Amino acid sequence: MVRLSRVSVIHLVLGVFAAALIGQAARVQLVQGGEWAEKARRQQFNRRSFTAPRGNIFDAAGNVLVQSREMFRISIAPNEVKNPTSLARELHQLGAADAWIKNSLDRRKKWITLPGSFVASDIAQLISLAGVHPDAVMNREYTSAPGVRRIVGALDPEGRPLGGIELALDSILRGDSSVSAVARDVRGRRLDSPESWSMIPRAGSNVTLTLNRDLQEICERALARAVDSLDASGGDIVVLNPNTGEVLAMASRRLGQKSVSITAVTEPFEPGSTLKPFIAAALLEKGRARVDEVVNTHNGQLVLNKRTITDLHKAPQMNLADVIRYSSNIGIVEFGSRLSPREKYETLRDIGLGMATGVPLPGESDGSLNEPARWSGQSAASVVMGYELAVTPLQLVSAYATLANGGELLQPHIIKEIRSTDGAVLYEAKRRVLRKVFSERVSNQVRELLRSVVDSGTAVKADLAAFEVAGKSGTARRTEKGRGYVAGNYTASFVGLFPAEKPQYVVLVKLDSPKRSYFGGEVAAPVTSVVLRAALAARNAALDRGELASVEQDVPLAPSESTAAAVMPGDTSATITGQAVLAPVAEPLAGPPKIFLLPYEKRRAIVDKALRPVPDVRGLPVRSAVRALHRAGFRVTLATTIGVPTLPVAGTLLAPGSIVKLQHIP
Amino acid sequence: MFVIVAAAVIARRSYGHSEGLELTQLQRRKAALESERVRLQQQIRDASSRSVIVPLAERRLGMHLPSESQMVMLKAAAHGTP
Repeated sequence: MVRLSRVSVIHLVLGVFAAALIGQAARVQLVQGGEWAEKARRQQFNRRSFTAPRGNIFDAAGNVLVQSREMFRISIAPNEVKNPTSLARELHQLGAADAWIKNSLDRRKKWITLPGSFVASDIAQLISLAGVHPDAVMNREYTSAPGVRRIVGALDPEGRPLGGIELALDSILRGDSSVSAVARDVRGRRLDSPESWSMIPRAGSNVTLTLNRDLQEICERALARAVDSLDASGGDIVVLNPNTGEVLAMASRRLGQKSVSITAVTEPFEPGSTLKPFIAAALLEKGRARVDEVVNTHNGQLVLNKRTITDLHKAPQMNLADVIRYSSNIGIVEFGSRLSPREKYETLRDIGLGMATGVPLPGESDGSLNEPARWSGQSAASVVMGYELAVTPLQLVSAYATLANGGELLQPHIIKEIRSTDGAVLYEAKRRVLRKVFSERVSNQVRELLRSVVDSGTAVKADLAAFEVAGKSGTARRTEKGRGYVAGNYTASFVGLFPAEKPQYVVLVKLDSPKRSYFGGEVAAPVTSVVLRAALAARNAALDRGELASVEQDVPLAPSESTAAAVMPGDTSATITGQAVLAPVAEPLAGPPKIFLLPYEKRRAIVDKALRPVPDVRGLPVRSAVRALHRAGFRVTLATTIGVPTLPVAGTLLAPGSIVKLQHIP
Repeated sequence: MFVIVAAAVIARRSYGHSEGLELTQLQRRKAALESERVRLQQQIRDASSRSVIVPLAERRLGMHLPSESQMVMLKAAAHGTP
């Protein structure tokens, strides 16, 4: 038997030990390698999901309306806190409530997440403390314009959409979240490591709206002033491009409540007289009436089915043009009787009433338009006067667009374009004709009627000096719950086409329950004028100025003070606010503008100097006479004692810019 | 030999760790600055909007909208017109 030496035994033991080590190492590496590696990964890496940045929202000119911004939520693990004094101080500086600070230091709690999110620069010191865990979240920065905010909506603190475009296009704006494995060191701090991996989050797509921010702000300001000065309960302004169906502005205001709904699409109202032009259009289209055809208007009072219908402008008879011009209820009822209930219903349905327009805004109302089978004995007369039906402001401007664009009902839209973050166009709005409602001939005829409403009818306060405006005012009684129509409670509205020739805007101004005056032509038409003048002076208000130049009228160059005084009473803002006009500022000119503000002397230099006759203004109202003289290129002063209509008398040849005295008997 | 190799590995990893921490801090700072940029851009947009500028210009500078008679729409020159 071989007797091992002591050294050999030690060698043998060491050899066995080494073999065991190698065996165990091989087992750990080769057999259990995957399991240990996974365990190490779990310790060293955190699997986290990252929210993708939400897409931005722009206006039509590319101005940012809503943008995403990275902020941080703060979570605290009380057990990991090593410096409670510093932590409490930092939390206090951050504005955390005492209860949250106390909770954050309570070691019985495992995890505390502070409410709200914080800017990185504010939490720089805090997150360097042990036990504080920041978590990046995407917040939304909204423009401050309240009307725009109402349209684009908002997100709740959890990032869920609450309304507007944010809700309607959530799946497009949201993008795809990603999952990442983030390396952490022994203290739990995030560590960028080559072994970290992540799926790149796909940011949400960017949405461009058809809204024009300048025009939107003009509308919001005009509406706010009108509502405040008239003590109205609310109001809406909608501006639509009648040639494309693009919604350019949509302002809403309600007193006494912080409404977040877009009332221009959610709250229908009885349109009243603003509906009459469509009845006229239907009559003309079907050949049931001519513009100059006369009906009996019963001296302003008609009893029909035991109901008394009255006119403000009382006349024994009127033709169709005057029925629209003076908004005669009796006239439109008489003319409307030539259409069957079914024809009336189909006309109103064809212009889009009684069904949602389909703009992607939550809560859009269908409005209300009953089928003839559900009409009462009064309905046939009520409907043609704009009662017993309800329309949203957007439906009404969309319907008026048919009178502006040659008779086509267009799909109104508010989304202009959607692009992915890499710039690819995912959606592009196109002009979409829903149906041809009126022929071009009828559309032009009715627009002429609407022109007369502003020129010399119920809405002269919507008029502009340099451009003709067409439109129709409406004054409709309002109902109150359980009380029916209430005396003194009206919806005052005006729908304008600007300019009357080749319209670029359809503007609806609606004021709810104005207190001081309630006629649409008195209170809503002036607001339209304010909006249009501000839009003309704005740098970019979605106007084709080349087209405008082709329809611009001659404007008085420098009316004298007395002339200005004569014209000013019709000035809209003055009427609305009861004080001098505080018109918006003239904006600086940039880019390739076609408006120039020139000193008076220079403007005179470009005027034709040829002599021209003083026009004959005998029998004209003062306002019309002033306009006629201005059109002829003269300056006007008012005088009470000259004894003739004008001095120099009609026919006298004068240089343009000369002063003509106009007889004015107050 | 083992000690030398182990020390080199540890030194390399320690260097990588500190670089990683610095990289993380820089990225966090970049995100914070980006966030601040967005906030400031929004403030600039709001401050230069009509709803802010117009009342100030009216009140402080006495500015007002040009009336229509103060505006001239210039017709675009026909194609080829010198």
